[in-house]
Amino acid sequence: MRARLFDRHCELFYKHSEQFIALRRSRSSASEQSICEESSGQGSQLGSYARMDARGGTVAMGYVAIYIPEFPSLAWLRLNPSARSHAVAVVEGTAPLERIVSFNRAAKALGLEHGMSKLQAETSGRILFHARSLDEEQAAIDLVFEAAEHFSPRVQIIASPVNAYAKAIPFAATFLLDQSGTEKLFGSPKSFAEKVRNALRDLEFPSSVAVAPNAEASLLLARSYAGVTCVDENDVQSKLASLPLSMLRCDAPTLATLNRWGIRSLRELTALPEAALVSRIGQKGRRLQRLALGIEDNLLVPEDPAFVLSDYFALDGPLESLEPLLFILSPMLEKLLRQAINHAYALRSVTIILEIEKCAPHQVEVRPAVPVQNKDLLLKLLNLKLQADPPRAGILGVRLTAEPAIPQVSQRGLFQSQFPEPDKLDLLIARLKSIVGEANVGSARLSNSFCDDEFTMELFTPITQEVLSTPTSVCLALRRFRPLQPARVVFHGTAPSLLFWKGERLEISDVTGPWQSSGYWWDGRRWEADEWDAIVTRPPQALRLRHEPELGTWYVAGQYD
Amino acid sequence: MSRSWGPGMWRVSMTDSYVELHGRSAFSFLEGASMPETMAQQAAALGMPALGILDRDGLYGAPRLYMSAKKLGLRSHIGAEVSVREFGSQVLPESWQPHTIPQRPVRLSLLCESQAGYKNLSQLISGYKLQQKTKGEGIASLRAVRERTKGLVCLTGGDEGPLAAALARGGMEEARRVLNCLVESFGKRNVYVELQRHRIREQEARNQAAFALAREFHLPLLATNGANMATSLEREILDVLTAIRHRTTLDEAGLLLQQNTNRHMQGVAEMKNLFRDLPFAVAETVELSSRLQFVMKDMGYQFPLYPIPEGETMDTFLHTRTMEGVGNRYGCKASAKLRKKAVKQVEKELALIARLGLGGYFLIVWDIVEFCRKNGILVQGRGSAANSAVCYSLGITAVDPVGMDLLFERFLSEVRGEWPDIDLDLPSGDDREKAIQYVYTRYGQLGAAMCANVITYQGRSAAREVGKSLSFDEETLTRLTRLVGSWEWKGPTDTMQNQFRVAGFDLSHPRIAKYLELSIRMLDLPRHLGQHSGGMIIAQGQLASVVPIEPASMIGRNVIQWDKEDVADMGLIKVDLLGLGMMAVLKDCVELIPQHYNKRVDIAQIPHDDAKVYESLRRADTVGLFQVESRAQMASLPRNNPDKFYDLVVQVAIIRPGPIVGKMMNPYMERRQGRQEIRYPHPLLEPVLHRTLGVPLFQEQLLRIAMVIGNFTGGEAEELRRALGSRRSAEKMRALEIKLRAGMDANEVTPAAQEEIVQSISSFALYGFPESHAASFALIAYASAWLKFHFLGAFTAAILNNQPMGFYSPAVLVKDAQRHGLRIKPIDVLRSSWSCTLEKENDGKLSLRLGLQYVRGLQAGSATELVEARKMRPFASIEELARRVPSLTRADLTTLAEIGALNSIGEGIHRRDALWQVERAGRQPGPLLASLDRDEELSSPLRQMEPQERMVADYSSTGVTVGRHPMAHYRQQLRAMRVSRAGDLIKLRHGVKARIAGCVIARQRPGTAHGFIFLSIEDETGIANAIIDPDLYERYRSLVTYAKFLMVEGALQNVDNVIHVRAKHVEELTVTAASIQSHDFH
Repeated sequence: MRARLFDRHCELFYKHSEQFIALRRSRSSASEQSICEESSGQGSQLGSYARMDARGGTVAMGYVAIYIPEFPSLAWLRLNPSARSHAVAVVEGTAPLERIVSFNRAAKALGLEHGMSKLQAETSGRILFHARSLDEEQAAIDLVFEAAEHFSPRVQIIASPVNAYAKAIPFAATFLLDQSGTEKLFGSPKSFAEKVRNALRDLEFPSSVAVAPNAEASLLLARSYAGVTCVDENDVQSKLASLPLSMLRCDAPTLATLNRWGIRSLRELTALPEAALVSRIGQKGRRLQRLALGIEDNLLVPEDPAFVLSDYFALDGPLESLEPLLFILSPMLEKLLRQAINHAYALRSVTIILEIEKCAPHQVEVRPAVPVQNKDLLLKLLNLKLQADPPRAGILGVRLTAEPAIPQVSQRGLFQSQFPEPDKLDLLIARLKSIVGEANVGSARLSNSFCDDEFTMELFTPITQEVLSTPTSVCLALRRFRPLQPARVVFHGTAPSLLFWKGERLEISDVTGPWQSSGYWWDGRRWEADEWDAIVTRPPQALRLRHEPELGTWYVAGQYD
Repeated sequence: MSRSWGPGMWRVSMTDSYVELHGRSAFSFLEGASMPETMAQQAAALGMPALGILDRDGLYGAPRLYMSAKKLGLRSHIGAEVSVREFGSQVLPESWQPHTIPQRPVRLSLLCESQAGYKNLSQLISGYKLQQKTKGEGIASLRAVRERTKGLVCLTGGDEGPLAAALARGGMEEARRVLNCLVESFGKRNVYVELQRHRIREQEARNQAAFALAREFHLPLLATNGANMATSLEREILDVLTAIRHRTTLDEAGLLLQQNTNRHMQGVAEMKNLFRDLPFAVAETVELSSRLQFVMKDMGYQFPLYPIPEGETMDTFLHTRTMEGVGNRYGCKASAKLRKKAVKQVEKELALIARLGLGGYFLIVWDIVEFCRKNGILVQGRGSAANSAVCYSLGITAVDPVGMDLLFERFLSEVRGEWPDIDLDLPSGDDREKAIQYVYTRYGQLGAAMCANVITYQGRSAAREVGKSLSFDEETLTRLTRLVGSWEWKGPTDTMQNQFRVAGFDLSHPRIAKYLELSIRMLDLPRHLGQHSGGMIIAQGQLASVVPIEPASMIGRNVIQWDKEDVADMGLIKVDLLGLGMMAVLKDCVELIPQHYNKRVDIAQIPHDDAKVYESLRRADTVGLFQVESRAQMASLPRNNPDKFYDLVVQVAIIRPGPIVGKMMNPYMERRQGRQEIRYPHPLLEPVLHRTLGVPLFQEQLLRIAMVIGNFTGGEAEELRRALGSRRSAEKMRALEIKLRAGMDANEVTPAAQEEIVQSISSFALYGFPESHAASFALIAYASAWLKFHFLGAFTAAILNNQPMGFYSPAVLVKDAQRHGLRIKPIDVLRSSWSCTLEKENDGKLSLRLGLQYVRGLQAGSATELVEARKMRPFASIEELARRVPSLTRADLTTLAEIGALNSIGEGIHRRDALWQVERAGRQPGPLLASLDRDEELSSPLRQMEPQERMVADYSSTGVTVGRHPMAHYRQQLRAMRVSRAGDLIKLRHGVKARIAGCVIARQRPGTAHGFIFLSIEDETGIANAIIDPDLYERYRSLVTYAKFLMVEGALQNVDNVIHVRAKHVEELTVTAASIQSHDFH
C-alpha cells in the first residue's frame, strides 16, 4: 500500500512542483551528507542547515517532527469513537497481571500511571480497558504515515510499535519529515507544521509538531512543547536552552552524573567547556552538548516503499470447485514469481485469501522448507492445502500475496549421500497434512510432565546427533490409541473384570493397578487419571485402561505388544 | 507376632496394626510438607502406636516428634536419611524422558534402635556436616557409616534409597552387590528391605525385584509409605516446596513434582489393602517398632563438669569462690547487718544448688565471666539470675538481690525441676565473639555449639516464594510483599486477603485465589536453619553425640540442629551469651572518656543519685538511652517522674504488655503523682507491694503475694506463675488457682480482692519483667543516661559507632546531639577515621567528627588504606588521593565528593568542584595528548550546591546530615501553613487544634494499643508525637505506613507534660527525595 501511496504522491508532486523533480533526482544521485559537506563552513560548524539545489542555489532545510503521545490508546479510540468521551486505558500482558501502557486525558485525571496494574487502575474509577493490539497500532501508524506523505515524500518513522516506540515510556509515535522545498505547496514552515497538525487532528491523532533546521532539534522540540513549535537557526538554541535536562534521552549513569553536577537545563549543559566535558564523560558529552545546542546531525532516512508481492482477481460469479481455481491461480503465481525473480528473490511463503460468499474470507498459507522459485511446486502445495482445508462456499475473489526472500544456495559435497530434495519433502509433508490434519504432522516431543501422553508437535528438524543406541533390555512396547478409545468397565471387587470395547464384551483375566497420576492442580489444566494394565483372554491381548475419576469415564489407552 | 521361614515364603502371625517408620517431616527442609507435630497427630488419628520420622541429613525434627508423640501417647522412633557417596546417585527417569531432576546422592534410611545407635547417628551426621567448609547438606563416606553402625537399623529406602538406585544402575546384579554391602555393614539382623506403594508402575517393578532379593538374602520385608505429608491435602504445599528447593516454577518443574497424592500417612486398613499380597510386610513394622527401644530422653546428655583442684568437690569449690565474692561485694561498703543477711542467703542458695547438683553449671558460667573480666570485656547477667546472691557474689550479675530484697525462688526452686537460666549480656561485636570463641576453645568444637534458630515462612517470605513458584513476576511480588504488614498489632483488615486486595489482586481469579491459599498454608513451615542470637549449648564429653552439629553460615561458628524450644524440651542447658549494643557503647565510652576528658570512669562505680540525670529523665530527654528511649517510655517518664534508682527500675518494667494489659500502669502513675490513694488489696500485702505503691508490677511480687496470702511455698508460687503464664496446662492451672483461693480464704481475703489478685497474677505472669531483670536493665539504662548527660560527645560517638542498635536511626541521634549543643562535623578524608571520633576545638570544647563508616558503599578496607596513606602524608589533590588509595573506586570518590568529604583538599573547594575533579581524576591523557590537556582551568564551571541539595546528598550517601534539619529549610512555608514546631507544642493549650509536620522517625502499632498507631515526627526543634486511630489508618494506610514526611492535624493533648496530637487528618509533604530511615513495625 505504501508503494502505491508513494507513487500517487509523487505524481501529485510532479504535477505541482518542478522542485520535487530536482529533489528526487538529487536523492538518487548524491547523499545528503555529501551535499552538506559541500556547503559553507558555517554549515559544518552549526549543522546541516542548507544544501545546494539542482540549479546550484541554496535551499533552506527544515525538519518537521511529529510527536503523538499515548499512541496505543489513540490507535484504539480511532476505531471506537464512542469511547472517546470516557476514561480509557490500554493494557498489556496476560490476566491477572495486565499493566497499563497507555491512557487518555480523562483516565489521567483519575490518577492512572504507566505501569500500574489493571486491577489497581480499576480501583481509580470507571475506566474502559482495552487489550493492546499491535495490529491496531501498526494500522494507525500506517495511517499517520500516509497522512505525512501528503506533505513530504521524505518521511522517517522514528518511534513506532516496530521498535517498541524506541524503548521509551510512555509509548509515543514519532515521525520526522523533510520540509524543505515544500514552501510553494504548503507555505512557510509554520504553516506547514500547522497543516500537518490539523491533518492529524482530523484523523483523531492530537500531536505536537515542531519545525527546526536540525532533525534532532525538531524531535526534541516536538517532544517538549505541545502544539506547533517553529524555530529557525537563530532561535533554535534559545528555544532549547530552557528545556530540562531530562528531555534529553541519554543513559542513566550520564544523566546521574550531570544531575550531581547540578546541571538542570540544556542551557547549563551548553555552558560547560566542551573539552573538559569530553575529558570527563567522553564523546557522549559532546553529543549531548550538540543536541542541547540544536546542531547535532541526524540524517533523515526516508522509509523505503516496501516491495510488496500481491495480486487480486475478482470473479463474476461464485466459483464452486477447486480445479478451475488453479487455472486462475497459476498465472497470478507466475506473475508474482516473475516479479520476485526480477529482484533476485525467491518466495518464502505464498498466502491465498479467498473471498467467500456470505462468509469471512478464507485464508491459507504455504511455506516451503526453503525459499523457492518453482511455480509448479507452489501451485501443488496450494492445491494440497486447499484440498485439506477447502472453502465452505463459492469463491468470489482471489487475492494472492507472497513474501520474498533471498534464494537459498547450497553446495553439496561430491561424496555426500543423496537425500530428498527439500521441495519433495515439502510436498510429502503437505500431502500428509492434507490427509491427517495440520496439527498432526511433525516430530512429537514428550513434555516434562507426569501426564505421560502429553507431548508437543514440532516441525521436522534434521537430526544432527547420533541415533541413540537401542536399549539393552527388552522393553514392553505400548501402542497408544489417539484419541483414547471410549470403553465401559465392570468391576468385580476392587478390580475391573469386564471390558466393553468396540462393541465387544471382553473378559479380563488378570489386571494390575491402578497406577495413579495427577497434576497441574495450580491452574485450569488440572488432570487426574487411574490406569490399569489388563490382560484379556479372548482374543489374547494386553491393554492399558484409563479411568478419569472426575468425569467418571473409561478409555482403552493403548495396547501392549 | 512371630515370623518363620518356609520354603520360599514367610509365615507370620499378624497383628492388626501398622507403624509408619519412614516419615519425612518439614524438617527435611523443602522435602516434607508437614510438621512433626502434625504427623504425630495424624498417626494418632490413624491409630498407629508409634511413628518414625527420618529427615534428610539431620535430626532437626526429632525433639518435636518426641514431645508431641509423648503427649499423644505414641512412641516415637528417631532416625535420619543419610547421604552416602559410594552408593551413587538416586534413581532418575529413563534417558528418553525429558526432565530437570538433578543428580542427588543416595540416602540411607537409618533408625535408632538404642542409645548407642542414636549417638552413632548424631556423630555420623555431625562428622560429615562439619567436614564442609560452608553451610550445606554434606555427604558421608561409606567408611564413616561403617564405623558407626552399632545400634542402627538400615532400611533400603524408597526412590531415594540405595536399592532403587542400584536396580536402575545395574539391575539385579548391582542390587545384590549393594544389598550385600548393607548386610556386611549393618549385620543381617539390621537390614530391612523396604517396600513402598504409591501406585506408580516403575516403583512396583522395583518392589518385585526387592521382594525377590529379600527372599534370596533372607531379609525381612518392611512396608512403609515414605510419607512426606500428613494428609494428601499437603501435596500442593509439597509441590510448591519442591519448586522452591529447585529454584524453578511449578510450570517448569515437571517430573520434580509429586506424581500423585499417595505419599501421605496411611492407616492400617489402607496399608493392609495396599499390601494385601504381602501382609507380613505390614506386620513387620510393628515388630521393628517394638525392637526400637530408644527414647529421646535417654540421649545421654550431661552438662560438663568444671575442672576442680584435687581434694575439692564441685560444691566446696563453688562455696569457696562464692564466699570470696561475698567478701568483695559486701565487704567494705555494706553494713554488717546486710553482710550477715547476705551470707545467710548465700548459704541457703548454695545448699539448694548442692542439692540440685548445679554446682558445675554455676562454675562454668562463673568461668566465662572470669574470662571476660580478665580480658576487659564488660559482662552482666540479666534475667532472673539477678535474684541470686550466689550469682551476685560470683560477679555474674550486678544487682544486689539481698540489698534489694529480691526473691530467690523466681530464679531457682526445688519444685520446678528445671535448669536455671543465666543469660549474660556482652558488648555486641568483637567482645562477644571472643567470649564465644573462648567457650569453643574450652569445650572443643564437638563439645559446644550455638543453638539454632529455625527460620520459618512468614507473611512476606511465604507470599514471595509461593508467588515465584506460581510464575508471578518479580515486580508484582515486590509490590505485594511490600504491603504485607509487620505491625505487632494485627487489625481485622490486616489479613493476607486484604493485603492481596490492596496490592491490586483479584481474589476471584483462580490463580490468585490459589496463590493466597497456598501463601497462608505455607506460614510457619521451616525454611532453613539460622543461628540463635546467643544461646550456647555445652556438653560433658561430645555434644555431637547428643545432637548433630553443623557449620553455620558465619565462619568459625557451629550450630546444633535444634532451636531453643527444643533444647529446653530436651533438657539441654543453654548459656545465653547475648550481644547488647548498649554494652558496647558503655565499653567504648569507658575507653573514649580518659582519652578526651582526662577522666576515668568505672561503670560499676557511677553514682546513682545524680539529680541532673534524673531531671533529664523526667523531661523524657532520652533519645539514645537504653530501654527508656521508645515513644511509650518517653510518654510515661514525665508521669513516673523518676528521682531515684528504684524509680528507673519501675520505669523499665512498667512499659511492658503485662502491666499494660493488667491495667497496672495507670493506677501506679496516678498514685505516683498523688492523685490516687495508695491502698493494698489486703493488709498482709503491704510489705510486698509497698515499694510499688500497692500496685503489683514485678513477677517476684506475684510470687510473694501467693506466698503471703495463698500460703504457697516459693517453689509453688513460681509454678503458679508459670502455669498461669504459659496457659499450657489448664488442669494444673485450675488446681493451683483453687489452692490459691483456698489460701486467700484462709487469710480472709475478700472475694473482690481475690479477683483483683488473680487478675494481676494472670495478666502479667508471662509478659511482666522480674524485678531482678528490670534492675539489671535499669543499671545499664542509668549508666547510659549518666554518660549521655556528662559525656555527650563520647556517648554520641560510641552510639554512632555501634549502629544499628536502639530505637532511633543515626540521623535522629545526630540531630538530638546537635540540639544538646554538641558540634558534629562532617566526614572529611583528611580527618575522619573509619569510626566517629572526637576532636578538640580551639575553645577547648569537644566536637564529633563523623566516621568514614557512614559513607554508603565504602569498604572498610579502602577506608583503612586511606587512613594509612594519610598518616604518611596528607593528600594535596583529589588526583593524588585517587592515585595513592587505589582501592577507592570512582563511585567511592564521587560519593566522598558529593558529601563534601573532599572539600578540605585544596583551597575553597566546594562539593561540585570536587565532583568535577573526581570525574577527571584517573583519566589523565597519555603523553601524546598531554599538550592538549594543559589549557583546562583548575576551577570548575559548576555552581555550588544549594543547602537543600547538600542535605539531599548527605542523606542519600550517609544517612545523616550535620547541616540543618530538612524541615528547617521549609520553615517559612510551614509557618504560612500554620504548622507548629515540635518544640513549641508545650506552649499550646490542651485540646486546641494543632498541626505538626516533620520527618517520620518511628512508627509503632503496639500489640496492646488496640490498633492505634503512634508516629514520632521530628523537626528541627525536636520530636512530636501523633496518634493515628484505626479508622484514620484505614483511610491513609499507605501514607501512614510509608510516607517519609507527614503533616498531621488534630487535637493537641497535653496531659502531665506528655504531648500528643490526636490526628484527624494526615497529609504527605514532599520535602526531599532523600532516603530517610524510620524505625518501624515495633
